[in-house]
Amino acid sequence: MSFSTVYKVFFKRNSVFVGTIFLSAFVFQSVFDSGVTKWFEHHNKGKLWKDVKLQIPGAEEGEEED
Amino acid sequence: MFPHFCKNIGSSRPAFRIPLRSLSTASAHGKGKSNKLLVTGAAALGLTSAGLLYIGSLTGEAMTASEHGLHPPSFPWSHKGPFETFDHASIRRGYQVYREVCAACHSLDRVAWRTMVGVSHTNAEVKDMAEQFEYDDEPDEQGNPKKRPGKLADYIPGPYPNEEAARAANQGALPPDLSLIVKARHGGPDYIFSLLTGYPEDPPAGVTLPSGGNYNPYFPGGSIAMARVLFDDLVEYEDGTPATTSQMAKDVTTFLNWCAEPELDERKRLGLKTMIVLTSLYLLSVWVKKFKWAGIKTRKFVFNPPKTKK
Amino acid sequence: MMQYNTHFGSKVSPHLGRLNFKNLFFNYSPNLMLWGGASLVGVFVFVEGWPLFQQNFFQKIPYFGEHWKKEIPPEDSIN
Repeated sequence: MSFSTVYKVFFKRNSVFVGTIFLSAFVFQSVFDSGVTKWFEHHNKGKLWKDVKLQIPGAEEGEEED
Repeated sequence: MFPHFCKNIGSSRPAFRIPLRSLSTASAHGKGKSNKLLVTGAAALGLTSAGLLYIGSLTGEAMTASEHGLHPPSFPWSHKGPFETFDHASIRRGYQVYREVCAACHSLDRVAWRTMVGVSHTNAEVKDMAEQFEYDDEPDEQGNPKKRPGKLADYIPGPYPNEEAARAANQGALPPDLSLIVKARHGGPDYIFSLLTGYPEDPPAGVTLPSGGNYNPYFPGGSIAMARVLFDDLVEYEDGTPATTSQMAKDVTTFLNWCAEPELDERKRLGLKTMIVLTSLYLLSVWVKKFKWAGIKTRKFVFNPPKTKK
Repeated sequence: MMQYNTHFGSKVSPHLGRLNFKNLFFNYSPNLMLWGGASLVGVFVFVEGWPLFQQNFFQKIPYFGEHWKKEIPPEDSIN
């Protein structure tokens, strides 16, 4: 896809241009959040509650009161 | 004397003499003696007070290291650093230490049971813990007050009904509420840990403590009403961690740090996101600036003087 | 002599600035639709963290919608 095609498809019409910006912002903010969270949880592995929970003797999935 | 003096330095300005002379004639007319007395009195007063202050400073405790307390060393906390979350296993053990040791005197008024769910305990565990306490319920039909077991929405109850009861039970000293204690003290968790583990066997020579006081170098003033409470194997951890004094102090400090900053994990995650985005935008703005200014910065001015006609 | 029933003269069709019914439909509508789509996505950008929109729209996006599905296990629920 040459630059002229990119220009014609995404840049030429202002409504499409603005729409592209918003769409990429929408996609970016969720992908970015997922990515950062994934790294953050990998970096802190073993300290987080979801890792600690597994080592508690009597507190496995079975306890569903109420 | 003054006119002569003036004459010497600025004889070209005779007008300068006039105000000086008028000043001296106004003040030195019979008032010289009382002025002298006033100056002597002020000097004597100043010297006396300076002497008294000096004598006081020889024995005083003001602005000394013992008044401010020893500075705690910096400890490598598991949650120290911009990307580090709390060690939740430590929070869990810390709550056990709080419940079995600290809760005898210290309240935790601002922490609700529900905040511990999904942080250090499961739903069922916290419900069990809350149900062991009684809370005021709505009165029955006759208007008699009723009690009910605690639920997740309740706040953790303190050991005393009010401040007066707390003081009466502790020889007049009020055990502070621990909800925000890590934020409320200089040094934060380092201070709390140092305080808990910093009780020497005996106070150093020359230190006299008031009755009910215990010596702790980290406590400002050195005399703290709380005695040493953490001793090896005081509690028994369910995960088999050896309960040494420093282990318990570390765990309870982590727990209290969580009480003071329950948002820490999420805050650091958002901070990471923010830093990445802002750094990228900053670098982008630097690039855009260089791009836009490139033509201006690299241009060359050439001055061609007009040819002069002769 | 001729008689006119209606007065002879020019008429102005209803319009708003340069817009009239004809060019509104045939010339402007594609662009306006694109603007509508762009604004919709723009609204989505700003309500991305709003549970109402997450549950009704975002979670239903195929594959990509997994991002908004947050399952709290029963032992971590505060209810």
